[in-house]
Amino acid sequence: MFKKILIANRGEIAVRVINTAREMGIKTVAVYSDFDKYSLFARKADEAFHIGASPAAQSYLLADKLIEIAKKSGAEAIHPGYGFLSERGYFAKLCADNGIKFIGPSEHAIDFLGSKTNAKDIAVKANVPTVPGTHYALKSVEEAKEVAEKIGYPVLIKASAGGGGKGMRVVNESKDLESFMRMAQNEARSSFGDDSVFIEKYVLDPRHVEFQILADEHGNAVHLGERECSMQRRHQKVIEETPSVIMDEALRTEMGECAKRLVLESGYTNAGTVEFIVDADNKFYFLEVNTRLQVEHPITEMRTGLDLVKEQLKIAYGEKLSFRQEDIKLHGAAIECRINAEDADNNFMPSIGKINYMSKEGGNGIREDSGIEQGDEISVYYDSMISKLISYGPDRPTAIAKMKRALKGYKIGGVKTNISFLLSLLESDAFMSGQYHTQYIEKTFMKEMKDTAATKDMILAASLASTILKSSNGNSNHKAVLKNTSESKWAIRKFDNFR
Amino acid sequence: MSNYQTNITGQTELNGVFLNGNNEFLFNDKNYTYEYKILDKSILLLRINDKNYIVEYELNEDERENNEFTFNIDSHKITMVCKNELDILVDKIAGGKKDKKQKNDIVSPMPGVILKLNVKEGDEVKKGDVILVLEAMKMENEIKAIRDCKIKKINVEEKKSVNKNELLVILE
Repeated sequence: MFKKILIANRGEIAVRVINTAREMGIKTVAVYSDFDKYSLFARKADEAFHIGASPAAQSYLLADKLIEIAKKSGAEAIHPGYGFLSERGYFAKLCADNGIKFIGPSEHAIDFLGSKTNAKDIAVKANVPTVPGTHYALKSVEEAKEVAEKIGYPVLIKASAGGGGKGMRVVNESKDLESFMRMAQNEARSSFGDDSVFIEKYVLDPRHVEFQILADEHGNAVHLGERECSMQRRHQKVIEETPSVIMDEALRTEMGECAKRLVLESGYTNAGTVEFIVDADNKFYFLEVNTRLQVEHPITEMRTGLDLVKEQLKIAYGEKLSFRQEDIKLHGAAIECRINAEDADNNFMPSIGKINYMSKEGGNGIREDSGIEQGDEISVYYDSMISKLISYGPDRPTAIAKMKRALKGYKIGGVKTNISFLLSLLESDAFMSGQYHTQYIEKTFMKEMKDTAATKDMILAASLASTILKSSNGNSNHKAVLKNTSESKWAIRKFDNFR
Repeated sequence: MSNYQTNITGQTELNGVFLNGNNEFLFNDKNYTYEYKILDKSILLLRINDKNYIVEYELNEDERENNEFTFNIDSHKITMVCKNELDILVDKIAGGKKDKKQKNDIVSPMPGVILKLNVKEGDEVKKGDVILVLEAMKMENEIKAIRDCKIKKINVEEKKSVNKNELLVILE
């Protein structure tokens, strides 16, 4: 096994990798930006090297500098975590060129599966269902009508050069096709200077269900079951759970085998995730591949008993998978909630500042993966995630009860958090029944969310609290506190969205 | 002064609170004992008749000027108006006509870049309309109108970087 690895990341995922490496007797090298000099992960690692200024572009994204530090420290391999350079083929290549093992797939696999059109071609080759439609520009309205009749309404007209919903139209009936196609073309022309459009089946309110894959370098692959990630807000996952309530053994096997075929067809190795969308009739279609360890991997670990980082390290070292598909046993239910420093009452605006107070929850059935402690600061430089709270129980109701308990007890002072939002989401009928899809939060939950009436006890407590605060107003330092939030310099950060 | 009057914002029911300085208080003429500990500048542990309450609260200067306090108790958000004897007296003199102090300045809540500006000076906007979009911490954040109003002045333009607390827009 490797003797020493470098972790090209920060925060909770760096801590996560350090923990497993330590359990395996592997020394760890952290790299830190100015801001992270004394952050938990930088303290925890066996060695910590300064890499640059606080903005990621001047630190965690410096590929050459990472290689230099790996060489200097004698690290044999680099774990990229998620985000930053984890899905950059050139970084995997740079590692290989310098004789350092990249703990992840090859450059080729990252670049090939990272491109949506390439990945779709492979999916078709591997006989994995994709959303029906054309992948080439339509020549005429007649051709569009023909395709639409074949795949069935409703259909989606999409600009080839598209993005951000521009040049996109949902068509429910054939009589609207012509006019909607013209509108999409006009929009595409004015937005992208290219009016070519294609057409695909419109999947209404789909679920997002993904499969965890492990593939070794000897042609073996297993899937570790699904993760239900449909609780999303603006394409950001909010709550993930496994199993998905829609899953039965037959569907799990079918989707899992599809995911395996896809990675084997593309020569993919190490841990990866194959994402699908699923319609109301449980018909599934390939969406994309995430060529890295994912934020929500812990729920799969809870349910399989495996340590995915350990498996990643073993695969990267060239070992064969020590289990076959039939050895994978899925037990119980697990849920992950992402606690973010954001103001749920104010359009989820990130909330920056110092965490003055933190009272965490643990105990039976609760796991917390976090890189933040009391006294740490949530900055503008990085992600606003404070913690991943994971609950596990023999069944779904137990896992939900544990998560509710943990969220209720989790107190953070200094920044605003989404804890109350997560709690009301967990308590919604949709989550309780498991009947939700990717549009649920925005289409339904946000609109119906209303405060339940305060109880008499709460009014009593709030009255006393306001009286105490009011009576101490003269000699308190509330105003000083308000002014004391961080005034860090702004820096533009652009790196991939790994959520 | 230890006489206070509280009510939930928007509701008419008034509660009387009298702190008698001996870890006891009267709430609507009923006697309670209490203890409290400030766990943090925004978290208060209250123990009323031996029952625990964790009360999280916001530090909002505008609210405080209007005697408002927003709490989160057991994931319930409650905004209380709390007045002391002087406040009540001032109210009486003003004949209840004292307008709430209105917030006219929109300042940047964090450093970022103005991605989109949806209004121009002189525009009338409705409560909830998106005035501008601020990109910060890799998120697009919509800054919305907190009430129906007119845009008096705009201090920024699209693509401009702004600092925290920088004045963006003035409302009328």
